[in-house]
Amino acid sequence: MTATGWHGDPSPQDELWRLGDPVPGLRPDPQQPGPEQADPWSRPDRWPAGTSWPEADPRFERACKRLLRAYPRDYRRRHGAEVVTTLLEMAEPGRRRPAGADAWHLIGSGIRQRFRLPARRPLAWVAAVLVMLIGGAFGAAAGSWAVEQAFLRVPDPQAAAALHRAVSGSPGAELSRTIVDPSPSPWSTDAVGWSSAADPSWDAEAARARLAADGWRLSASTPWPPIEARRADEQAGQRPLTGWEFDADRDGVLLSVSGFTIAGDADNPAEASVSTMVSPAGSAALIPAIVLGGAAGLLTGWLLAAAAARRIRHRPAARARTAAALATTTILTLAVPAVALYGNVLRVFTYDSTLKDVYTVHSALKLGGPYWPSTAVWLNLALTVLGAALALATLAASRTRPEPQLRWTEEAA
Amino acid sequence: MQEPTFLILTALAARPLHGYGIVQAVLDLSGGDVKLRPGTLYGALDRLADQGLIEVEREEAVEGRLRRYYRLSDSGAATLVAEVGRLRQRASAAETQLRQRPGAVPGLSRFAVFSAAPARGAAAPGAPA
Repeated sequence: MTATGWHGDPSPQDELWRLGDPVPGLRPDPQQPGPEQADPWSRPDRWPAGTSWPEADPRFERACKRLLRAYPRDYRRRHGAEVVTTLLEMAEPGRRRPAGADAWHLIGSGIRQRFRLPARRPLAWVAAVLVMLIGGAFGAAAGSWAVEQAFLRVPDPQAAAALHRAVSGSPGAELSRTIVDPSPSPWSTDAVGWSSAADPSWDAEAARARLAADGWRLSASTPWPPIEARRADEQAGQRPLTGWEFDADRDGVLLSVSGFTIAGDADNPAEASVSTMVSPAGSAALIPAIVLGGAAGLLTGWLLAAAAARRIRHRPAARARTAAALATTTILTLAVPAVALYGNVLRVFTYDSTLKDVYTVHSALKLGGPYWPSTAVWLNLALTVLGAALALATLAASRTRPEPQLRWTEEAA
Repeated sequence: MQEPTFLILTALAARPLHGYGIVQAVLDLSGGDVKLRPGTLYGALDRLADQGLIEVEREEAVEGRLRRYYRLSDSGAATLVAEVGRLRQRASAAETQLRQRPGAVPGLSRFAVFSAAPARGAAAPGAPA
């Protein structure tokens, strides 16, 4: 092995020019920095006339301003003009736009800048993490809401009633039909149920045949366990009761049927009862949408928090305090619905998917049953609306106005 | 501290400079190794100003062009001094370790020329010609 140097294998010549000769690659200007010419860049008065400010090729400048769009706006306002000046100074003469690698590097740096938080602000980090998590919760809710809108058929009571009639058969025999609207769940999609007395001759197999003819896909029919003393407390004798349960699904609608007949005896006529429950069948798109929405929400949350934190950092102290107080209130307000939404995310991923309920994330915001015990049903929704308003106020309070001496104009970019 | 940061603080140690001046000074100080790209430079300047290590000294603006001169703050100078101490300690630790290495260490001779001539003599006899 021969002698190798600190930076690879420099030839002796390399070492020599490092010791003091002008460095190749510097701008070939008459005032190249050298040992005898100590501070050329700090003394503009010493710059030769005509070379002190870079020549501006308007195309190059426009290209620079376009690239700077990768940076957050508040950063462009603070640094845009000086970055463009530096780019012009570094440019080789005659270039129309920054070189490819430099352009990509600038875009990458701009995107990185969007993620950056102000240095030495631990509370900004805490706030950004919380806002990111809140964003993730609402993003997951948005994904789940979108899938419900697109794929989950929320049942309409009249359509459900028509289905009920089809199952119970002979509409004329309906003595009383009652809607058994299960109380809307803050965990899952809604369902509509109907229940009615049916003709005593009601037969599950006949009902299944009618549904099959209508294109419904049927699960196996499960007989109820034998019950004999069903109405022992009301009736003198015991009458055998026979019941069936089965599900049917078609076009994303799940129909759960349960019916029973009770044999007649000397004192009582035979009777039958049918209940149906119509709910949306699940969708394979639900979990991917929740994951994607959640990821987009986390990202958006962080970017928003980073933008607000950077802007607050550059506001005068009084304005910064106002904005920081607003931001804190926003986070506290949105934390409650966000925790509820994460609870629902957990349910979507952990609860048995063979159950008939379709668990969704956004259900925590609907005006169904209360999500939190002993609270109003509207609590989560109200806090979300209030939080959104506070978030807008925070962003408004942290907004930076262009400096009086406007050096950076967006319209040229 | 990352190398570009160290070099930027070093460039600003003696005198205030604007963006392009810093790029050139860093190229010079690093022996032509480090050519800062504007993205790196302004990312670092924004961060260093945030940390209070550098300050804007003055600005020159002409027809949409802007040169903003940065200078090392007192706290920046203290940080740089601490970093210089740390690097010096690391370098001398490395040298000490290398001198304890049996046999010749190619490249160590250059250290010896500038800073530790006697040690070179100690290591040289074992060196293959």
